[in-house]
Amino acid sequence: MHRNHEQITTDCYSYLSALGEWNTVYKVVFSVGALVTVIAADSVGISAVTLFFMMFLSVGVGKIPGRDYFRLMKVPAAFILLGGAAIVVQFGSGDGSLFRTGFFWTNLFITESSLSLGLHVTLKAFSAVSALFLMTLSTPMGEIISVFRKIRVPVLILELMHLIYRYIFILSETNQRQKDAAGSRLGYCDLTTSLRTFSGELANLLIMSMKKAETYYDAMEARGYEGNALFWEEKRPLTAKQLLYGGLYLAILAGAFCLVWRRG
Amino acid sequence: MKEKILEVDHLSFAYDNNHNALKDICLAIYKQEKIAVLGANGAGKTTFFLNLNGVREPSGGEIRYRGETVGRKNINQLRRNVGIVFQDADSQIIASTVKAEVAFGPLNMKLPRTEVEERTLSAIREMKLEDCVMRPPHYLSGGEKKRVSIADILAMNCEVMVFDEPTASLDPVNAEILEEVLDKMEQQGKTVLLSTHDVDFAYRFAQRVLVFCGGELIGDGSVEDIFRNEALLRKANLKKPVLMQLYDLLYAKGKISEVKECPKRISDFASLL
Repeated sequence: MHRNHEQITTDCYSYLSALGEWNTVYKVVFSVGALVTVIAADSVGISAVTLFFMMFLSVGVGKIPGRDYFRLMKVPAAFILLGGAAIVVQFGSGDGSLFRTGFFWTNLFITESSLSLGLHVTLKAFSAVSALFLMTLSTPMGEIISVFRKIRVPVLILELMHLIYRYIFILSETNQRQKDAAGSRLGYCDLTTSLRTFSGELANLLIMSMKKAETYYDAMEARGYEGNALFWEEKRPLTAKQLLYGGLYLAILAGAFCLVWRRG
Repeated sequence: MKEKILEVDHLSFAYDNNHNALKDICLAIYKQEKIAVLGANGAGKTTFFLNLNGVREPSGGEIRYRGETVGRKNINQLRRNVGIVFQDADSQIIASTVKAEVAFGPLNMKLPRTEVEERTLSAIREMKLEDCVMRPPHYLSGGEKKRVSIADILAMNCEVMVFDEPTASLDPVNAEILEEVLDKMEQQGKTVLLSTHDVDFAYRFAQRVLVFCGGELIGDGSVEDIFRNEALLRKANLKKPVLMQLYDLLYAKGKISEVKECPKRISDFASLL
């Protein structure tokens, strides 16, 4: 697959994933269902089970390379870990804490409850992200939009989503070309020049995007567009294998629920 | 008698800034014709094509499709029958996969799903894009994108196919695929119009040549007539095709005998030697 960016994008994986053949509605319901379960259950056990099962589906079944999966996880992980740290570490006198250290005029400390809450929230957040990763790393944008169409999202919004999605890549490609052209002529040789070049690029990009939008509309009209863009939606059957994975997840969830319930 | 498909009657077109992009164009296009539209950059070729497809509305004059004047009411009939492949594939491709992109036109024609799929896959096969069916267009190479944009129009099965500089940015292999498709279209009875700066390609492909200059149609004739008109070529910033130049040179030196029509392909030329 040719790539117009140096970095392989989330979008690219959605076309490479072995889960791409799965029924789109099922996949979206599965991911969103898992997300809602994690949030609603508010349990470490459920979060852990969901996190591992979603990773198993994306990496094990979907065949996304594990290293790439964790690389993609880095960005949300940075935010989640920072958020988690903010919950775990507290300010104050720090009486009865597990760990305490002086910090200017006050103390930084960790209590058992803050540690437990922080780990709980972090695990829950990772679990929710893994559920969404299952959807985004296996479902191309066009198919996600087709699910929105099925749940009666207004056509205008869907058309905009389609066009914006395509447009993002055109603009980033155009910007990359501009950047390369400017760079080849010493456009980024020092800070002042870089700033000047960058502002010129942005202005150019705006004008070019307006011109492109016009040609885009012409091209749509030329192919019979009458105000309602119709896009092909692939029919992906729901197979027993897909249902089996869903069943397996539910069974593990049920087991985890039972364990949590018995422990009180 | 040749079947007239499109009639362009005193067509004029001006953009918002009142610059006259087309001035009083009159011509007729017949079934199964292969027409090359030549002219320098900004001569009005693209604007002419957009008028032919109804994307631009003439400022003056009219276009008739099979005798019927094209207006707002029947514009979609024109668009169903006159397909246009844009110069920049990125400005044409709108869907998120190759299959969805090629199916866009047939879906707008309100065809049944089975026929849409049949036409889509057939166009994809014809443009040798089988490996890219479910790929998003932004991960394709320039040549592949161009082939997708051509497949878009093939799937619509239009009577008249208009190509705006189809060979621009194509490598020799992709250009060869395009030429094969153009040959097939001729066999299928389609009318093909294409603009190009490649006079050798135009010479090989066309039966008729239209020459635009500053929004005016300054030449309309057979390939031989147009490329033998030195004054016209100079005015339109054009050059004689290499094979024609070579023929003239060898003929002047007495190395080659006179033929009724100068050969259009190297193989035909070789047989003269």
